[in-house]
Amino acid sequence: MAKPDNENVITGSKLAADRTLSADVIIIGTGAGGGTAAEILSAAGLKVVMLEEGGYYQAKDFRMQEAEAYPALYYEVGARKTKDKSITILQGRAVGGSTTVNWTSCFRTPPETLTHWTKTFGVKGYSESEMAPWFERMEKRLNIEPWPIRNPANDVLYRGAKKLGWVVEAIPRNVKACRNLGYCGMGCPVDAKQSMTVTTIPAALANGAVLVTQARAQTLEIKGDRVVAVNAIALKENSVEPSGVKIRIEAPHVVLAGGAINTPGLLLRSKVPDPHERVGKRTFLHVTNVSAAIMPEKIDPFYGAPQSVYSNQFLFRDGVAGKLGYKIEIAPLHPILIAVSTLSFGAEHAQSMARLPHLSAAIALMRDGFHDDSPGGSVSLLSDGSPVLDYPLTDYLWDGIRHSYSSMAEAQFAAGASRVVPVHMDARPDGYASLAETKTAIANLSLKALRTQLFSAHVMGGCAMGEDPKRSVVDSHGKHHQLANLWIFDGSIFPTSVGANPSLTIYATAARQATQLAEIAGGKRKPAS
Amino acid sequence: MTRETISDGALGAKWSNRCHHAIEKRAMHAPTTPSRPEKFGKERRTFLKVGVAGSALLLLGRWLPPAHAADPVGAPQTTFAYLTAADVVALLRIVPIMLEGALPQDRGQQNTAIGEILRGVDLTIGHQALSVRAEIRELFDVLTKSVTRALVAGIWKSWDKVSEQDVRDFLASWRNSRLDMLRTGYIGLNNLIVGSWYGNPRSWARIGYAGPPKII
Repeated sequence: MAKPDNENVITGSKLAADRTLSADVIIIGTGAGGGTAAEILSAAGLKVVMLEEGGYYQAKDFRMQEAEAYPALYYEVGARKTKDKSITILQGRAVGGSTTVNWTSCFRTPPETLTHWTKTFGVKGYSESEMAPWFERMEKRLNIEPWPIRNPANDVLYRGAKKLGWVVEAIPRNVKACRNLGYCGMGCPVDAKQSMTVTTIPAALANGAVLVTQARAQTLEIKGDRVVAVNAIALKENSVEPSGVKIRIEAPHVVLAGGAINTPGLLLRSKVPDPHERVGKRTFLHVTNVSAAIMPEKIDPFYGAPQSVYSNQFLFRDGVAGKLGYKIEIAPLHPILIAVSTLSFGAEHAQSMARLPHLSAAIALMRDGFHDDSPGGSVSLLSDGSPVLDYPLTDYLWDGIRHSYSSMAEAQFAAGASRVVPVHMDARPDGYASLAETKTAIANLSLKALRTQLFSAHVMGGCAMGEDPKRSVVDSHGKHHQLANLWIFDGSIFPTSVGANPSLTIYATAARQATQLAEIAGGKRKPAS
Repeated sequence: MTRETISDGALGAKWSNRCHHAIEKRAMHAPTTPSRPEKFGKERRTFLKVGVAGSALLLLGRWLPPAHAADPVGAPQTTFAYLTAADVVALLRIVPIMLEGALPQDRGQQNTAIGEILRGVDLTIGHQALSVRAEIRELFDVLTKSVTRALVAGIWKSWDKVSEQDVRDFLASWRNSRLDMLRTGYIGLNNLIVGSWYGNPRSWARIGYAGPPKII
């Protein structure tokens, strides 16, 4: 499935002998942060080497089959787990990172979030007006525009919210000539999704950048206050086991962009100076719960753009730093995804699955990290050196989750649902017939780990940015506080969660940070717009 | 990867620790009655007290010969990269109950489906991180070593002799357990099995999914 080697692409699993490479800038990770940075830095005339743990897959490889896509394109077959296994994390592991498999929803960072980062975390240069040009630039680059079509699953949320008088808006998506198929999560088979694999990475390769795939950055080699090399190990075809081949890359600048679990993991493995023990702390997930509406009409929730409307009605339900707020969206449902989220067995499971064509699944994304009782999770290392996220589930979080089950059910009944199923192991598998009955059930649900199905598709934080080294890992430009040539351009630098699907926030911050690094690293040409 | 290296791994130890806990609970309460949660301090003290005995039990479990796999009828004639013969015997009993009502009625088609499910489970394990693979190994070891199978899973006969109701009771007891470890084990089994079946196009007609659209 992986793309054959060309002169600029080195497939780690096919390397027979150890390799040494050099560059002006090494970028570890090719997702939203790494891909964006690679284009900008290479366009500035700098020699860039990109390192990616996953394989290089393209449109022709994407056959809209979950059974092929999850093992090939996601960490842990689409089921990366938090330490106690209570939250399932959907995170891409492929060239393009999660941009290869995300559902294409692109939001500007809420202004309330930017203000909170500035006022509470001492981040500089992130006001709404200072960020606006960077959002505009990346919206243009990735063709981000509100998507006008609602599939029946999304229309349920739209109708319900409208009827209740809630705010409800169309979702901007990074697509071009999208055919509204509904398989974004398995890789776009028609190159409509403007992921890093069809935009910035090919551009960087054309600028002379080198891409090493199926290779895992193992450690940063540090001398004094500088990173002098990145030591990586080539992986086998499944991007899991080491092949035995080693890769060493030297460069005057190193950019980390592996996301909020892998980036802190690499820093911890490398024993990077961390005098205030900030690395891996305050990692956020937008912890997500699910409410399934059983609709009288056919919904076919597996077809059509996965996400096209959202409601921010409860995003700031108690202000920015009050009770936990959440964003409501719709999730696409394909057979594996719904099967593994349905934790009954036997006849109950079989009956739940048979309702699939009539389901519309609403999801609530918890805006974690804005309140003292919402410190998020922390990344540490397992004995084999791999990172794991411990994310304690607090009463503060459960309060938001319980509140959101009711809100989602309200919208679903308003849209005409026959029954609503709060997705929880103790809820009736066929749901409840009225809002009152559903609310009573929700009030009585035992909200605890491994009884409540929880998900996340967004990893953020763990290497917070800020001007105070006691509270942050990098400064507002993404430069490491202790090491002079180490940069972090991914979602791990966010001091809290974003409060919206984070891809555009990562694109925009990485574009801004990479533009500055291009100047510092001696880039000659003006970066392309 | 051999069973020995996995069992000796740190993650193996994690599962083992959880097993001590489960064994302790099973010893104190009737196997089918979920125990009440206790305050952490008390739980911790009890845990320390039975820890040594628990370790010995687990060690014994590891040194026992693998569960007897006597070529059961319907066993797929395939070798697996990760599943052992003992795992297959257990899964041949568990899969039809986990997916009761979802598999083809025709005996031959059902056997084919179960064979494909096991292959899917094996492939999934091969794409998991090494640490997760080790945990799955521990899960299957608990299910297939006679001592832990009895004390942790409440299955007192070998898998090839259990009734359908025994399997239902086992799945329900793990699913509804107050112990995180047993619910984790249940969710792991559920996800491996149902994930494998519903990725298979043979499962789709029953649930009204016509598959991906043709791209012209």
